[in-house]
Amino acid sequence: MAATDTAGGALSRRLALAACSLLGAGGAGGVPAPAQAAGVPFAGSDDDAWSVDGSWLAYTESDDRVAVRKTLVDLQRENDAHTIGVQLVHDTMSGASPTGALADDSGQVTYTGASGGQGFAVGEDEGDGTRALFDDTRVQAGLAVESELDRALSVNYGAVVSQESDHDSFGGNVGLTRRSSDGVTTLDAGIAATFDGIYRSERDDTPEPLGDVADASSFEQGERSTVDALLGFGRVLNRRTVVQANLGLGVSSGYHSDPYKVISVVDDRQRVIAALHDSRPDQRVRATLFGKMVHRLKDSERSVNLSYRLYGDDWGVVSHTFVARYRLPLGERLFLEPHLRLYRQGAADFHLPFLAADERGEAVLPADGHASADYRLDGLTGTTLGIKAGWRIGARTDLRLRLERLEQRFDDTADGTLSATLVQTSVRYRF
Amino acid sequence: MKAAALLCALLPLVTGGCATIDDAFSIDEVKPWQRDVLAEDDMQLVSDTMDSSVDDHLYYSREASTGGAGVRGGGCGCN
Repeated sequence: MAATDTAGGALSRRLALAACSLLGAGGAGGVPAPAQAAGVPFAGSDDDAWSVDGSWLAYTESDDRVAVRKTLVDLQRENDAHTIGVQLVHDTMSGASPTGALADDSGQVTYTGASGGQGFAVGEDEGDGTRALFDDTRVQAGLAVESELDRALSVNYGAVVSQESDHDSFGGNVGLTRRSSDGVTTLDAGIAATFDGIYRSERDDTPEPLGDVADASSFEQGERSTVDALLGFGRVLNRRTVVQANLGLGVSSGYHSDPYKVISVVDDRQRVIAALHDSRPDQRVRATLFGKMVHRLKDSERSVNLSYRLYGDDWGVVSHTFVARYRLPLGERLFLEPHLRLYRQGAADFHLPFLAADERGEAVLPADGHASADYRLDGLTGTTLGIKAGWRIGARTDLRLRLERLEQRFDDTADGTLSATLVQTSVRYRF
Repeated sequence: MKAAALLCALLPLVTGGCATIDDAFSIDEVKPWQRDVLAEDDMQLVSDTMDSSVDDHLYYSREASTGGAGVRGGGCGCN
C-alpha cells in the first residue's frame, strides 16, 4: 500500500503539542515561521486559514532504468475544530524495468512489457529480455479530514483513489486520537482498507502464475483487498523532546503477483531455456514496530529527528529501517537538513534468481507453487544520503529544495546494484 | 597505549553523547506555556508532509516492506 499524506496544520499542531497526532496526520512542514507558539496560528488568523503546498520532483535511476516525474498539490483549510485537506498527485513513469529474467542471447523467450507497456519479443528493448520498456501515467486524489470532538478526543478520516493504465486503487481510513488531561500523552487507533485492481496494460488480464510466457493462459483481472490497523502512543517527555511508538498490522488477500515479472528456467548447461510468470502467495500478513524521537538540542536551535522501524511478514521478509535528520538553522530564514536513511531487508522465502530445469528440460517447480525473481523481494541493503534546504521568503511563503542519492545492493540479483537521484522542489503559501 | 589515546580522544564525544541522550529522555512536566519549542515545525513528528508522501511512495515501490508510521489508504501498480 502506498501511503498518501493526510490533513495536518493548525489542529495537528495543537495535537502535536498535546503529544503528537500519530495517525493520518502530519505537521505543516517547511521553514519555521515566527510566533508559532501553542495556539498561535500562522498567517495571523485561526479562522479558516488556508494553505497550499506544491511539490515537483524528478527521480532518475542510473543506467536508463526508471525515471519518474511527480507533481503534488496539497490544499488545506483549517480552523479551531477541523482540518480538511485535498491532495492531488500526477506521476509520469518511463524507462526500462528489470523483468527478473536472466540475460540470454538465444532469442527463444518472449516477454511482456512492464507497467504501461505493450507485449513484445526479445530484441525489441535491451536485446536480451532482461528489461522491458514502459511508459505510464498515474493520477491520485485524496481527501482527509480531522475533527476535534472535544478537548480529549479527535477523529480523522479520509479516502483516496488512484488510477493508471494497469492498476486501480481506492481506499479509506478512520482513526481516533485520545489525549490525556495534561496534554502530554496521546493514544491513537486507526484502520484503513484498500482495494486494488491489477492487470496488464491494454490486455486487462493477468497471466497464469508460473505459466510459460510463450503459451501461458490468460486470467481475469487480479483483485486484492488490504486492511491495515495501527495503535500508537505519543508522549512529550520534556520541553524539547517528543517520542512516538506505533504497532501496526496489515492483512492483504487476493492477487499479489506482478503480472510483468518473470523467472528464467536454466538448464544444466547454464542456458536460459524458458521464462515463467511470477507467482506469489495470495495472502500476506505484515507487522511493524515503529519508533520516533524528535529532540531540540540543549541551548541550540538545532534539532534531530530519529526513527527506527522493524518490519516482518509471513513471506519471510524482515527489515530494519533507520532514518536520521538533523535540522541546522542558518539565521532566521534559512535552514539546512542533512538526511541519512539506512535499510536492510532479508529475501522473501520464495525469491529465486532462476528455476533449474530437469534432464527433460522441464522447470523444477517449487512445491508450494511460489517463485519470484523480482529484485525487490531479494535481500537488499539500501542507503540514502540527502540534504534539504529551506528558505522562508515571508510570513506566508516558503521554499524547500531537496537532493537525495539512493543506493541499493542486492544479495542475489543479476543486476546487483541500483542507484538513483531525487531532486524535489516544494513551495508553500498560506492565505 | 593507542587504545587509551583513542579513548581519551573519544571521551568528550562519548560523554557529550551520553549527556545529550540523558537530556533527551529526561521526563519533565511541561506546562502549556512551556511548549513554544514543541510548536515549531522542526519539532513535528512529520515535519514535511510532501517529503513523507514522496518517500512513502518511493520506498514502497523499491523495497519489500512498507508502513509503520501510519495507516492511510491508497495503492499503486509500482509494487
